[in-house]
Amino acid sequence: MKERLLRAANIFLMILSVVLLGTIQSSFWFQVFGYIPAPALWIPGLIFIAIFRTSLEAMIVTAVFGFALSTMTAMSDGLLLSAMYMVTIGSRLFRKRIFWSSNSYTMILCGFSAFFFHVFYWIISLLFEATKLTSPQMIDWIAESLLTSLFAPTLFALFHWIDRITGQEETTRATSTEII
Amino acid sequence: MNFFAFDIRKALIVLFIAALPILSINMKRNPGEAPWYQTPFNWMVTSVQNSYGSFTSGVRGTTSMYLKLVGIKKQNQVLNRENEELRAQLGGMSELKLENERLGKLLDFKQSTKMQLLAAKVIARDLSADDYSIRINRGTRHGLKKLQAVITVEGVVGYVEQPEENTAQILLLTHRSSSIDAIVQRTRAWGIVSGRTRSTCRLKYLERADDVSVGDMIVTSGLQGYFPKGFPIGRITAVKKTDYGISQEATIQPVVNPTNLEEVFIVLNSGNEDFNQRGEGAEFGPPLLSKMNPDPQQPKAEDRGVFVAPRPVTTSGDAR
Repeated sequence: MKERLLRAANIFLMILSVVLLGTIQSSFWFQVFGYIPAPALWIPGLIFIAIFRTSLEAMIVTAVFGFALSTMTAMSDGLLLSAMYMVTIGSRLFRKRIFWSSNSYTMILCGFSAFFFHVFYWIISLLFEATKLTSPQMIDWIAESLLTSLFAPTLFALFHWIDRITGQEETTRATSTEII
Repeated sequence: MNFFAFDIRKALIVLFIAALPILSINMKRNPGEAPWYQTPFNWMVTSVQNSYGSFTSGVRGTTSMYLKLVGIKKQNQVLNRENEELRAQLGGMSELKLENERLGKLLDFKQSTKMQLLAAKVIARDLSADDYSIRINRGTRHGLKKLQAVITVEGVVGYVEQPEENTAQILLLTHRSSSIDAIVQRTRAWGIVSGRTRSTCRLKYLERADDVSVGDMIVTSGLQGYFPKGFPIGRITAVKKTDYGISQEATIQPVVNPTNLEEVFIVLNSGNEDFNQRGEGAEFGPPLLSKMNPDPQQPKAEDRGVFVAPRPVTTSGDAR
């Protein structure tokens, strides 16, 4: 029972963190830096869940993240969720093949994920949307990816801390072959 | 020991040595040079004294300089702090002045129109770099409804996409999914404005025979009822007419820079406001029009009699 409560608390705190990070990205960054591209602060949360949780849990939490983040964008829910699922699946596959435990891994994975999120979004929009995205802001994508990389280690430390206080460290320590 | 039993020779020598200085007291001094036996001592003494003097004056100078530097450092810190405070105050004052001017302009605009306007502040931007929307600090609690027009003094910004209780998401006119009913001001040709890039829009569904050219001003048609009639959207920068098809398309540069918004108005009720009917001497509407006119041969919007002197005054809505 306690185990389940801790698990639920962990998921709740992860969702809360991602929502807060999303608001920091869309509102606080905007108040301070104006329209300068902001780091995709929610991406490390998505990646953390994707690489340190079981497939089922990662998929469910990704969907919850998607619904939470959709309130902060004009992007359609379907498009957002599709792109997020592609990032989740892509990062899980990457982790299954290549993994080392350091900040550089976190930075690389989050940076590339932030970039490929936009690429997936663009592709899906071109394939399925009625009003297609014809002029993607690639400079912004690159700036966003670089900034996301910079923030990723700190945010991973936050998520590890959440795992520690909710007794989920074993899950985080598990190897890729164990969880996938 | 016999007190008087002493060596007379030694006594004499001692007496002689002791008498020498006494005898020399009254010797005539030579005012010119020191006697030869004093020369080496003089040299030694002056050298040592000079060295000592130089050393002490050096130490004294260094010490006093250090003490002064400590004082100067403290003074410098105080002055730097004061300078920073004054700079911050100056920056704040400049910001306040600009904000005051901006808000004054908004207030003037609000007071000179029949429209019922609600001022709002931009509090967030879109999470995605490819979706152009903003969030404002007004919601359904303040009377906002879906599709209500969002404008600034200069022109159209977009419309309310998703109103919440205290905030609302605004779809900017540059978003690819937005659509605003519009007409070409000069020829009254009808079309739909939707977003293209972050800083440009397109005018779709123009008939092939419609007379449109670069520099034409695009204004709201007012057909939807949410926007006032004749309010500026942007100016045509390019016209694309393919060999086939029944329509043509124009690229528009919006009069409002959507990446530079701080305050906006929500049109709660357009009040059948028609900006086409306003006379010459416009104070409101896009002051950018004359600046952004790409073709100097084209008449400016003011010259076409579009925007108007402020009409006195129907106040509506709450102040910010």
